[in-house]
Amino acid sequence: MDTLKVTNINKSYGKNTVLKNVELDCKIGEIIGIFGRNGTGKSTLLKLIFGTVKADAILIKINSDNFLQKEIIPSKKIGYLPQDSFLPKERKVREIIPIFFPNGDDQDAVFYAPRVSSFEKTKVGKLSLGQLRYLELLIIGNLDHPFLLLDEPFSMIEPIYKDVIKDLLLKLKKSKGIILTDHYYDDVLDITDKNFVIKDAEKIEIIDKDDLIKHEYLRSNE
Amino acid sequence: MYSKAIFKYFIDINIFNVPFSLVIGLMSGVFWSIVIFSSVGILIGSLGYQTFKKNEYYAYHNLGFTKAALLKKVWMFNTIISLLLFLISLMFR
Repeated sequence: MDTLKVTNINKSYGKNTVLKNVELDCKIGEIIGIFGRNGTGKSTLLKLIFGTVKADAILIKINSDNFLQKEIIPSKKIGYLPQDSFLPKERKVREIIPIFFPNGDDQDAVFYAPRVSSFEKTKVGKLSLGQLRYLELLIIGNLDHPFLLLDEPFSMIEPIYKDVIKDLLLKLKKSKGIILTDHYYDDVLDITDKNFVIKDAEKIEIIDKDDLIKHEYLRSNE
Repeated sequence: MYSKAIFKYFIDINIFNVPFSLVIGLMSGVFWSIVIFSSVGILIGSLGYQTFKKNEYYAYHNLGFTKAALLKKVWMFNTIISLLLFLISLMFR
């Protein structure tokens, strides 16, 4: 079974240490949730693993192979969902799917996914936030990466699409390892197998909502 | 592989590059317009893309393309087009 193991993650911006000797590992079949207050380095952590932010130090290993940060994108081992949409707003959904999937069968997997037929003729810029996030996850999820890094997949989306996205992630989990970060902790805790909080540049394992309170991610009355 | 994605990037870069190269052409002549199209114009196109479509790079990253790899492809296409345009311009001299 494929395993992603990232160790010795260090990142500072000037004197501000964002991540200090953080370690993370993820196997196919796992969904890992990462919490942290704004500015604690959750998104930075994902970008460091994906290779779009340069680390002070990082060791990335997939199975027995070591990867430099710059080798991650060409390796196609890890997919990444950024916070902001990466799809061209001026194109219709049905024009975009073939850009990512040259093969007809692969296109069908997205075209015939639940709910896609209801918005396939719509321009990306006119989609609701839920539809857009779902489409992005369908696209990334149907590419061949064994691991996915998802930055705020539940943020600002309508409730009906939260359930659709949760179902999709649980389906993807059967063939991929997923690391995600989001402030919508109830949704994250619903689907994750392991969870962490990033606090004071370090990673702390948590079990449930009480631990989020204990580690000051939540207040006790939230 | 991913020819539609590459073609889209090629168009998106040259949307900024072509007007810049044409303006240079109006000021300095066809030869310089062709030269700029396959050199500095690509950098202008890259700057335009970075400014207006930066997040779309993640689409390409998910397909396995780094920014440098994409720009290299555009440079190769534009150089071929420039050479053809140069030969055509010689024929009409």
